Amino acid sequence: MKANIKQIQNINKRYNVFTSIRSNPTPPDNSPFAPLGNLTYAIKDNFTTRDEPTSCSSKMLSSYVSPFDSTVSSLLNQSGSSCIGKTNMDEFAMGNSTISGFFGPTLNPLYPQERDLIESYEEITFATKDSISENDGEIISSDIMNDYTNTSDLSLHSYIKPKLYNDAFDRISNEQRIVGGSSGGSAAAVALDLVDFSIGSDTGGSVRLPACYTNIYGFKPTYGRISRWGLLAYAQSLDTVGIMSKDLDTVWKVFMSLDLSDSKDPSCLSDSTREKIAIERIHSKKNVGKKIKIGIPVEFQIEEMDESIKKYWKSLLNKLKESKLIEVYPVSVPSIKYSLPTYYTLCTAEASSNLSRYDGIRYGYRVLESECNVDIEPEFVTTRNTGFGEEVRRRIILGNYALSSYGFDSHFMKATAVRGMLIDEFNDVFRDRHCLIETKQLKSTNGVDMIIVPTTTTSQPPLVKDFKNTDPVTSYMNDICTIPMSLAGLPTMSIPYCEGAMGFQLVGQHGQDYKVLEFARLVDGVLSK
Amino acid sequence: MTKPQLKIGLEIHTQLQTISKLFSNSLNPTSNLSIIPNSTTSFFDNSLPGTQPKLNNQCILNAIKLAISLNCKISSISSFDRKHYFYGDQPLGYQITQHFNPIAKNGFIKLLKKYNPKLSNDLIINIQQLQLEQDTGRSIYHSINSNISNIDFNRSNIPLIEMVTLPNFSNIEEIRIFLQYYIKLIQDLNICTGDLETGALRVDVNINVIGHKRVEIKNLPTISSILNAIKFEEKRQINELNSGYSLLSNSIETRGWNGKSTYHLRNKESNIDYRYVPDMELPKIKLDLNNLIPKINSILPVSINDKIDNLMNNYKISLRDSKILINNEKLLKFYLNSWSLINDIKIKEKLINWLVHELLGSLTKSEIEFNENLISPKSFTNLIIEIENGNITKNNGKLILLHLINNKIDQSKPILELAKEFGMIANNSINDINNNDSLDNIINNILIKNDKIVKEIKENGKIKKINFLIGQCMRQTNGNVQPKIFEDRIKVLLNI
Repeated sequence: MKANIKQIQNINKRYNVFTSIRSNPTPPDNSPFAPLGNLTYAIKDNFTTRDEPTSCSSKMLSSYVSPFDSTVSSLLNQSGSSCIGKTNMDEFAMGNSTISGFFGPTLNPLYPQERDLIESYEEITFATKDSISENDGEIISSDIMNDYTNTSDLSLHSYIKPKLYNDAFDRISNEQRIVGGSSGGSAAAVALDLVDFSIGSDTGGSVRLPACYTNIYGFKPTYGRISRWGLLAYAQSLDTVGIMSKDLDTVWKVFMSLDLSDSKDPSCLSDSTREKIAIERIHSKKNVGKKIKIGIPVEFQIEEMDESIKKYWKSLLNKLKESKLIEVYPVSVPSIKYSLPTYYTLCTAEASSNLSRYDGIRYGYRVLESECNVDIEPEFVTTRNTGFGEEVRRRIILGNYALSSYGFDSHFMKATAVRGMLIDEFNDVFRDRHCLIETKQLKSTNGVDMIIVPTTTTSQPPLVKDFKNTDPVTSYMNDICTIPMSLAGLPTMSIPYCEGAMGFQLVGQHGQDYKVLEFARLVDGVLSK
Repeated sequence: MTKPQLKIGLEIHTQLQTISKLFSNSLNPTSNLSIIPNSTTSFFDNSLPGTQPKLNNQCILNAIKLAISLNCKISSISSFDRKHYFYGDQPLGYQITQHFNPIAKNGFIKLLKKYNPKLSNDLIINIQQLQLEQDTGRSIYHSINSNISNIDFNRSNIPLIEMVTLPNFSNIEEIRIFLQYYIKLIQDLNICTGDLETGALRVDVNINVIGHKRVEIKNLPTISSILNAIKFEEKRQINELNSGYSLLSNSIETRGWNGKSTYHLRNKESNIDYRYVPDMELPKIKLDLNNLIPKINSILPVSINDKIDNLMNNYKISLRDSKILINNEKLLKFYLNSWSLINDIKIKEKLINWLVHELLGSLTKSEIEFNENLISPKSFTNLIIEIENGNITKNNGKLILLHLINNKIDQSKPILELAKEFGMIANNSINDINNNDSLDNIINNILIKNDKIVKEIKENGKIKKINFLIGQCMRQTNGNVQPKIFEDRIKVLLNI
């Protein structure tokens, strides 16, 4: 059993991990049949839940309550684990620092922090009145009632909302470093031992980078492996559900509970695809005991990479070689060089499209009539200008450029083509079959099993006080090591290495999630010797 | 001076009749406007955060049915794209449509002079493409002065097929014939109600006279408004050309229709950039055409032209009457049933005349719509057989037909027995009663015998009772006098 609610509130005061904390979390299921019984978790605030707002750390949705639960949240509750609260993030998952959101910065537990960021807590209670569909018995609408004197047909919900100090940014210690993002709250919750595991979303590294910065495991499964129903879309062709924990077996168990097809998510892998992967996995068991072939892409010899990272990378590979676990081969995935601009073209384009639904008409924040001047701009424009933060607005503008009639062919289509090339090149490097491509090309029968690369180029996260003044493009550089796997949809585990904010990514072929998990266990065995 | 040539193309949105909507499980009310606003919407229809589209395969089936019927090339792989624009009733901020790879392309409809005598030539209308897309919600404006509008999302995410034709039309008669054909087609395919008034079918017109730029006309809720708008716009453009219109000075314009004239809505150059992009989560539609098309072909109804050909060739029916039959499913069925009950080929050929002209004619006078419960095909054909065999006169036959419709019980009686009852067995000797003197004698006798009824007619104004008197007169004369003659004389004699 992890920390109790009082302790969680106390610790949260310093690091600002949660956007909301449950006042009465369901106790974890003690049944021996509950696969995740006795485990507590926190979930990023871009997954819909019915007990508290789903804010995406944005003013736009700061008090928006969803009428339905995300598939991930339903599955975790069914598996017997208990949700403690929802975690802070970069607004709409756009960022890699978790300092930009509407609810203030989340700090990194690995670095000293003297003063509290949270001044107080407020308990908020609301009631919902649910209508159930006659078709499928699912809840189809849920009116939020602030008057709940007559509770007969209402369900009550309550949560604890932190109130930030006005001078929160001035209270951050000079030695504080960014926790990473965008799932920074989820990483910090695990690092602070407030929960057994946490759920984040990983679009370009948003689980792996904060996992690395907080010295925990961060797993980004194959694209489409876990249902995204209820995960607020940032860039759907890249968005994945990620799992973070200090314990590898917990990551594994949680992944197994979530690794299911879902008819509500059109990009979720079908049962037949999953079956094929499972059969191939059984066949590959005959390779057990043989050395695992590891590829090292030459394109990861990045100029900006710290010497110390290169040194630790070598030491990791040497340890694994010495224990006869792996053999190392240099490989080449040339399109990795273009992955950063490719990624930022695609994700901003998708984001600008996905975020165009937030107009204040149906739900969420809407500007007051008195704050509008409709002679100058329509009301929804004012709503969007004041409801979105700076980085979100920047990415919407960038994305709109990529999709505009003058930018589409030169930017969006080119980026799409580079992404296709990148996937082809990874297919040539790996021994295994891409799970969505029927036949394996002959060329690569001798491919590698896994790739091992660093999660970040720097041995320490940037200092918060420096990061605030970094220009956006420089800050995008932090994603350089995690983006290629996102573009190709590959299963990737960031494992902590040594002490401090250092991690390495174990990367498998598309669909080979269990191979990655098994390999992570083997590596863990070697490193813990 | 000859009129400059007119070029017209159509852009038609057809709302598909499916059980559920295009990308969600909520019920598709099509354009049933009586449904409570926002009562048939799902989370996705309202674009709630975290929802995803789920393609309804029934929409694809309907689209393929239409594509085959329009002779289109169906794509084995098609996909969905997003078209971005902000509007209050567009909940996603974009419409999911098919911009880059539509489900079908390059079709045509042949409108043959053979079937459409009003056409001056055979006409081929080329179809550019068919695309599946979502409908939007509906904005409801309460009054011009109010700055508040409500939005009904029931229509949001209803499946539409957008069809674009090339500018192959050159006059309104062609447009009228095309629209009638198209509406009949989608109704036969059972994919759309075909109602323009409710918005289940929406037609935009692209029109220009040679020398004038293309103008788009929107908001045309009826066929007559489409035709009238075209007439008006043709004149307007000709006038503009005559008053020194310059091609360079104008960009492509969108105009509306207010019932009397077209009016300026906006210019294309002020249009927004739709930022089309392939949808990133909807899978491509992959179709095994070799397998699918024969299967769908086998469930398609017979084409309209084939139906007409069949009626004209095998039943010797005129084009006009064939069209009446194929436009009325019940009438066609009644006709075919009756046809099979008659053996004599000469009498068979008289059937259509009795059905379309006599029966429908008298029904129209009484403002009754044809339905299969009015008279049984057996009773109807027995009557016709007796008439054509000369056992009952035509005039009497018509009366008996009306009697049978009004007195269903008598339909089970043998026709000749009934005719005997009315004294309507044809008498081949010529009764010389066509002079007014002897007619008046007969009528006067009847009036005296029925003085109570005469009183009711004259004093209580029960004019309809006159029919009874006519019937009595008919009986007296074995039905060989036109009832109209009796009616007129009775009115004269009774001074009404």
